[in-house]
Amino acid sequence: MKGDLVTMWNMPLSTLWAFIALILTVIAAIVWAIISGKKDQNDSGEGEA
Amino acid sequence: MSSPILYISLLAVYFVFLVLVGFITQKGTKSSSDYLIGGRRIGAMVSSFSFVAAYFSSVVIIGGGAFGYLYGLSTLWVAAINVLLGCFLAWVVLGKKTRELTARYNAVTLPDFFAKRYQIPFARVFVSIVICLFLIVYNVSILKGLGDTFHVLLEIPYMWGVILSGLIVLIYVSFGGYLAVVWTGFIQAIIMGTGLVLLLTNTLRATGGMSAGVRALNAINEGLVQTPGIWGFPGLLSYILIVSFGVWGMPQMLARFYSIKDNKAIRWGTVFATVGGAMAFIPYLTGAFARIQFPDLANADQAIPMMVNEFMPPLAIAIFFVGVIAAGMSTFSSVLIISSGAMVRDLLKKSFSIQLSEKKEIRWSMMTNMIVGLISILLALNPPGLVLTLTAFSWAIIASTCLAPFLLGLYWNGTTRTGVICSMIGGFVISLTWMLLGQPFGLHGFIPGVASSFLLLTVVSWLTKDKVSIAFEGY
Repeated sequence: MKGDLVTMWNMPLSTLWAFIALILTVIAAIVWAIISGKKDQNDSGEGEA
Repeated sequence: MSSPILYISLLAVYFVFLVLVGFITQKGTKSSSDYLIGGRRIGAMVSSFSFVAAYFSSVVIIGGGAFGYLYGLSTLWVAAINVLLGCFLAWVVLGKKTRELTARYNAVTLPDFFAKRYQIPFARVFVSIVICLFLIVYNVSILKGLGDTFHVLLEIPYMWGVILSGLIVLIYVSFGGYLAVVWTGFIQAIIMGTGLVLLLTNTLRATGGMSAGVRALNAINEGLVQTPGIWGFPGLLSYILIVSFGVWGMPQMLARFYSIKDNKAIRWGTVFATVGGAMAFIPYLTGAFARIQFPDLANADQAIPMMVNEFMPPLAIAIFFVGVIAAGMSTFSSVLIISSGAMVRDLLKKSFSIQLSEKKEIRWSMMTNMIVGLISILLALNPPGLVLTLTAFSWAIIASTCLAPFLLGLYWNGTTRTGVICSMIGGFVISLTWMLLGQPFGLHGFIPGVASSFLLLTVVSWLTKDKVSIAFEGY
């Protein structure tokens, strides 16, 4: 595998990054849902006040 | 129980269940809004799972496997960007705004949204025709995936696989409308997910694990494990954008945002859709590893069915088989309901001013579903290309026509009527011409089509003055 760093599972880094990106996206979705839920709660709290 | 009997029994139970859902949901369908978008009361789990089922379908399971077989592990990037752009960001960027604006305009279809947001009757007619024509091409690709699966796993002729699966969908969609589509989609996503997990574990067992599989692929050709590898950047990038960004302009996917209950459902729907979508890597990986086991397949669309047939135990095959059929059916049903909405509500009722009562509109939609479905089945009996190639063709045309006016219509109040018309026609003509010219520079027609439609919409809107400020005021 010329010019590409071989990593876990004998996979070149350029391909392994696809797996890493997949996992990071799932984590990002969970974090986004929590943050935007809190923001919506604050917004509705301010609206009531 | 012998394998074919096991498959057929499981399939028969599943088919009966689908038809029952069609009849049960028919009772909850009282208006055309219920028929087309489920009365805007669908929850997070059902919306997101049916989104995933409609997105990934047999096109990704069979077609994605074929691309994995042909181009190797670089196709894992297609799955990764699918999840990022096509699931997570699509829900974040489009979800809330689409729900709010379509409710505000009382729009239940994409052509309806364009007509009300931009106040251009032409947009309704043009988009309806494009959707009807090119979703049929998409239908053909879905049915081809179903036919191939039936052929390899049940050894029944391709033709009968297409006819049987197509007809069952026609029955439950025609009766139950959108409610049947989302509820069956929800169940189908669960079956599909179970089938994919079984496929992954059995594939890894057959190849001796991930490391051994990558080593074996590398021995065949280094380009099969590297990115962009033998596919090259233009091809890889084109497909990534089509199947990830294309979703943003596909009416059957956007319908999930019209119909979802509230903002809380959108938030949790985003998480469920992202987690469910992450399974998309399985068909690409399995397709790539299929090359080790079957190096000389004449039809790459048979890579996944061959792996399943060879390496999975009968019960797992039966579950996977029903999962693929479920995946294809969920997408086919989603597309049918969009086609009938475009044809009956947008073309006949709104554009040609044919008077239709609510009941009559539902009846006409049922009939249209039947007609569009039957045409798709007939065309799928002799399909002109690979599953993913046909999908990319239809998605490129529809996204080039709809994506820019839809996305900018949600976020920018500077759009003008002239800009929208130029963008729709320009995007359509450029993407179609590019593909008819044989995709110069190895670039798929999606990229020039979508890029030109965004460019035309922004530039022409800046240069012209017929803004649609009234429709957007106060938002």
